[in-house]
Amino acid sequence: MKMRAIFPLFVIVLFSLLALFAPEIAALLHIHGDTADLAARFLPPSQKHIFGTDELGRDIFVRLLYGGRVSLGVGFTAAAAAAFLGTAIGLLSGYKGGWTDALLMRLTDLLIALPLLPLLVILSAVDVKKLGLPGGVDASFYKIVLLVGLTGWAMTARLVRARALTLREMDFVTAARALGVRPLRLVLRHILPNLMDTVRVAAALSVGNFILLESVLSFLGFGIQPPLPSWGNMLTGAEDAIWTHASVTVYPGMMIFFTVLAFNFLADGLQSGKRA
Amino acid sequence: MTPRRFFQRLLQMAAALFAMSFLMYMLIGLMPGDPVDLMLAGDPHLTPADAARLKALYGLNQPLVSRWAHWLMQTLHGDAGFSRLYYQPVMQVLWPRLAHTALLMAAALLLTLCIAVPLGVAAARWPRSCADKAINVFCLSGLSLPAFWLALLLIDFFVVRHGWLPASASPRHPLSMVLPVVTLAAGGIAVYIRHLRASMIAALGADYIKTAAAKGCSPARIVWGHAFRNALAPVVTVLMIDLGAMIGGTVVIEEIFAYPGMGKLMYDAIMGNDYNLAMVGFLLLTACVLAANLAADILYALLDPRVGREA
Repeated sequence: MKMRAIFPLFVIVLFSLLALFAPEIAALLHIHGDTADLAARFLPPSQKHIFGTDELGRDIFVRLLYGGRVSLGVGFTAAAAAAFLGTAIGLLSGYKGGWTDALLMRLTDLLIALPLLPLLVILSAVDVKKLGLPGGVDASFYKIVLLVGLTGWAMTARLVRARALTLREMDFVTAARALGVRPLRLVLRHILPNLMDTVRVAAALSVGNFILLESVLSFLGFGIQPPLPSWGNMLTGAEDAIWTHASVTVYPGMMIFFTVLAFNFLADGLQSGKRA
Repeated sequence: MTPRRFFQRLLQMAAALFAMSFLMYMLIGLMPGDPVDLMLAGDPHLTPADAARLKALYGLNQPLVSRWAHWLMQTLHGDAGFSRLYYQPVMQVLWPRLAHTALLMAAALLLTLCIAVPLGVAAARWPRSCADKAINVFCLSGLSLPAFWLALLLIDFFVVRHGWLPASASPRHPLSMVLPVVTLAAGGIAVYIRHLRASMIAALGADYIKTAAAKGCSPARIVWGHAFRNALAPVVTVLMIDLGAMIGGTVVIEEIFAYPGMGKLMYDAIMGNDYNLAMVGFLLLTACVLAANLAADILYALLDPRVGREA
């Protein structure tokens, strides 16, 4: 791995650890993230509230930590699902060729061309309880992961297919086939490991994209539902608060920006490492 | 593009729209609250028997598949249903909104190209230079910036602090369009720069560039007259594929700036449980995007005659 990938990786690990230990950090600060205190609304940054408080008097710093659990959680989980789906579809398409390939690639093209955000807005109106899934506070989290993961695999599938097409024609694959290796084993043991670098780059890009998508949806009110905080829905109230207290808009947006930037730099670093 | 290929593509488009309409209609069954449920919630005198009678009257007790078939026949005859939110036929609500969004997107696209073309070409002319690296960082930042956050920051600066621009946008006031256009353009600039850079580098490495240089062409003429023209064809494809993403961007931007376009309409329709409006609106957007993709392929063939012949 090139040096250029190290620094973004460090930022990602740092943010993940902060999110992971959110309850411990909140306990250390003696702050409860969900307790509203209307007498303490829009407090400026102080020693107790290092980023101040929001429109309900909740500590912004602690909510950012908890929001990180949700936003990063959605990003990682959905990206894992999309990477799995995309790799499977890309391999199948690239290795099988013919009709399978034509059909799957038409589907992929359609998915890439579709106006994704309006589609997700409509899909988010689906009542999960009618699908027999449990409702509740965490339901919006699973719904977003499901939606974003199911619609986000197209880019990975495209890239994996392109690599699989070239790998399929390589001599070592022909040799393995001549030795009588079964197709499934051939794909999983000989082709898949050789395109994992592509999958890694695509996954890094996906995490960033999915965090952005989640934040937009949550901001609009279709994603993560309060009181569960995410970096996106922390900005929902900011649309009104901006007229009096613009400072509340700054921190959640910065968290989204720097996290996504880290993932984009990571993907860029991984890619240029391959090229050099 | 041969006529045969063209009709093949049209057929594919129709098939995609057909499948999408079926999927969308089935999803409505999974959404909370049909019209009669809403009436039931709004009128305490309505008995369950009344509700059942109303459901039978509106055909809401029939299976979704037959409702979809009925809806499809009606839509193909030019009647896409009624919007519960606006008390108007759906298409009457949609057309003006579509025009507003097209205006917003055209302006944003123009701004995007004005910024992306010089930067993308510069990055390709001097690859691995400081300028190229700076442009790369600019691109990665642009790709990472949440559009709605940028919109909030712009509102804070230009509206709340200085009062230079209005916060709500309307197609009738050009000044009010500035912030939404800038926000919408910001999302696309990075995408275009990266694609333009890649295809310009490929074009600048071609043999005809060496020929042009050997016969004494000026660098500007080589870059703009020879390389840029050839680099443009792949970019046109990206332009049209990116259209879907750009339409996506309008949802949040139109909502923030209260701009009366398709994006805001989709938002209001879902918020107001007007699923028919949302569904027809989405299908209309999809049709636009697919048509744009087809147009891009035709344009590609015109810009690069080699492509047309082999297809």
